[in-house]
Amino acid sequence: MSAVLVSRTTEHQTSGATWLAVLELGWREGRRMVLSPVLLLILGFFMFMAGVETVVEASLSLPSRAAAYDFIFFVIALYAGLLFYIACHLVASSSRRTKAEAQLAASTLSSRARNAGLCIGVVLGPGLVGLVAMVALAVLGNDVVLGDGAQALSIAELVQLATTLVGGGLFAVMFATWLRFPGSLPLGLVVLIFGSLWVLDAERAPINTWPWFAPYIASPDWFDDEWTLMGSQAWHAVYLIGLCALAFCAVMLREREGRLRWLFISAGVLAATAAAGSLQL
Amino acid sequence: MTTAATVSEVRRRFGRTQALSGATFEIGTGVTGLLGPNGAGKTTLLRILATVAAPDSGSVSVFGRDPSVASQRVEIRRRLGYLPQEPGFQRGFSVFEFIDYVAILKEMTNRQQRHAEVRRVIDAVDLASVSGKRVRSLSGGMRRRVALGASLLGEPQFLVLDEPTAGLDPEQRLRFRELVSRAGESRAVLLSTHQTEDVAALCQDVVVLDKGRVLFQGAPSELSGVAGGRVWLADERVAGAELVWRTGEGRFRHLGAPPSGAELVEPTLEDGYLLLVGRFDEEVAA
Repeated sequence: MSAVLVSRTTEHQTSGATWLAVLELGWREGRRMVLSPVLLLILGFFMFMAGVETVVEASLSLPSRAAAYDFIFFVIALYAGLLFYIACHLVASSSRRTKAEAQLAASTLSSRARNAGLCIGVVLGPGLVGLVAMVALAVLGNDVVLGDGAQALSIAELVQLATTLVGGGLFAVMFATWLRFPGSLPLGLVVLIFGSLWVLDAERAPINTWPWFAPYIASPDWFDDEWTLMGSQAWHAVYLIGLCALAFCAVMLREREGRLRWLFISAGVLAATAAAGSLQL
Repeated sequence: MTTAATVSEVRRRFGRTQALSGATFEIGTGVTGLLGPNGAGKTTLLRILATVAAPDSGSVSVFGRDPSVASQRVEIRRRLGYLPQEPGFQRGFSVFEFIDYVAILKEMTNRQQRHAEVRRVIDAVDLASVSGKRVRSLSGGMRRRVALGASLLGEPQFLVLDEPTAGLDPEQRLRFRELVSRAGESRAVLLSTHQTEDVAALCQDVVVLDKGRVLFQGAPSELSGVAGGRVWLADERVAGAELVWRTGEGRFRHLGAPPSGAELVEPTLEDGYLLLVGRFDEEVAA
C-alpha cells in the first residue's frame, strides 16, 4: 500500500514540476480572466454599442473598414484595459474573498508561485486578446479613420495596445495581492485612472514631457496637440513593457521569503524602465 | 507506530488571546483524534501542522522536516492533505474544476493522470453525480465533501482534517468513517472534531486540548478510563453530580463522584472527555 502511495505522490512531482504547474495554473487563471462574467457582461454592452455605431456609420456611407477599425480600436484598446483590470482583480482576489485561502495555502505551490501563475494568466489571457487585436489592427490599417495625411499605426503602437491590456491585468494582480481588503478593486481603479489623467495633463509644463509617462498608448489620435509626434513610439512601447515588468516585480515582492533577490531584480527593472522613459522623449 | 509529526512546546498568540500555550504531543500512523471545547486552540494547531500558520515559539516537525524552512515546507506539503474548518470555494468552479484546480496547485501537471486522480477522489467522496455542478450551488454537506475530496488528492501521507463531519448526514458520516479508517491503515490522519463517537469509532490515539494545552494523550479506552467509577444511572436526578442528563430510556445518567450504592455503568469516551475538561476548567478557575 505504501509503495503505491509513494508513487502516487511523487509521480507528478519532478524537479521541473513546479514551473510546469505554474504554467498550467497561468493558463487556467488566464481563461478565468478572459471568461470573467463581469468582463463578458460589460464587453457585451460595448459590443452592442459598437454594433449600433457600425450600423449608423454604414448608413452614413462610411467605409466598412473604418467602422471595423473604430470597433477594435475603441472597444478593445480604450476600454478593455480597464475591463481587464476589473476581471483580473476579481480573479486575483477570489480566494481571499471566498475564504478559500486556507486550503490553497497548504498546497505545494507557494504563494509566490501562485501569484506568478496569476501574472502568467494575465499574459496568456488578456495578452492573447491584445495580440489578436494587434493583428486585426495591422490587417485593417488605420489610415481611413485618421484621415488625410495620417500614417498607419506602427508596430510599436500596436505593441502598446497589447501592452495596455496586459498592464491593466498586472496592475490588478498587484493591487489584489498588496491591498488585501474589500474595496481594493475600486481604490486601485481610482489610482490608475486619476494617476493617468494627472500624468496626461498636457497643460502642465513641460508640455512635451509628462504625457509620455502615462501608462497608455501614445497615439496622436488622442490629442489635438502635436506633442506626441515629438517622441519615440518604440521607446514608449518599451517603457510600457517596463511598467508591466515593474508591476510583476511588485507582485513577487509581496512574499517575504526571497524578497532580497526580487528587490535587486526590481531595481534593475526600474532603472531600465526609467531609461526607456527618458529615451522616449 | 511510526512518528509522522511532533509538536513541542508550541505557543501562538492572537492579540490578547493565547491560542496555544506550550502544546506538546506526537502523531503517528493511524487516526489520531483531536478533541477540545470551542476556543481550545485546535484549529490554530491544525493550521500550524498544515504549514499554513507558524508558531510564535516552540518547534514542529512533520516527517522529520521543519516547516519553518521553505524547502522543507514544500516537501511536507507534497505529502500533506488539509481540510480547513471552513473551506471556501471560488465562484464559477464546478466540483471537477475546483478539485482539478487544487490538483494543479499540488503540482500534478500530467493532465491525463491528474484528471484520473480527480475522478478517483470525486468517486471516493461520492460526488460523481454532481461533478459538473457549480460548487456554490451545492448543499453545505456536499461542499464539505468537495473540500474533503480535494484534501485526498495524491493520497497524502499525512491528512489534517478540521471538523470534517460537520454538516454531514448520518450515511455520509459512516462513509466518511470508512474513508478515513482506510487512510489511517497506512498513513497518519489527524482528525479534529466535536463528535466523540467519531473518535471512539475511528481513532487509535486521542489528544485532548483545552486552553491551548494538551490535557491528555492516549488510547480512546484510556480516555474513557478517566471516568471509571464516576458514571452512574439513577431513576431520579441526584444533586452533587458534575453533569446529569436524562437518557432515551428515561433514566438519569450522572457524572461525578457517585453516592454509595449507585448503579455504576461503563463510561464512554465522551464521559471521560467531559470529566477531564470539566476538571481542568475548575483547576484553572481556582
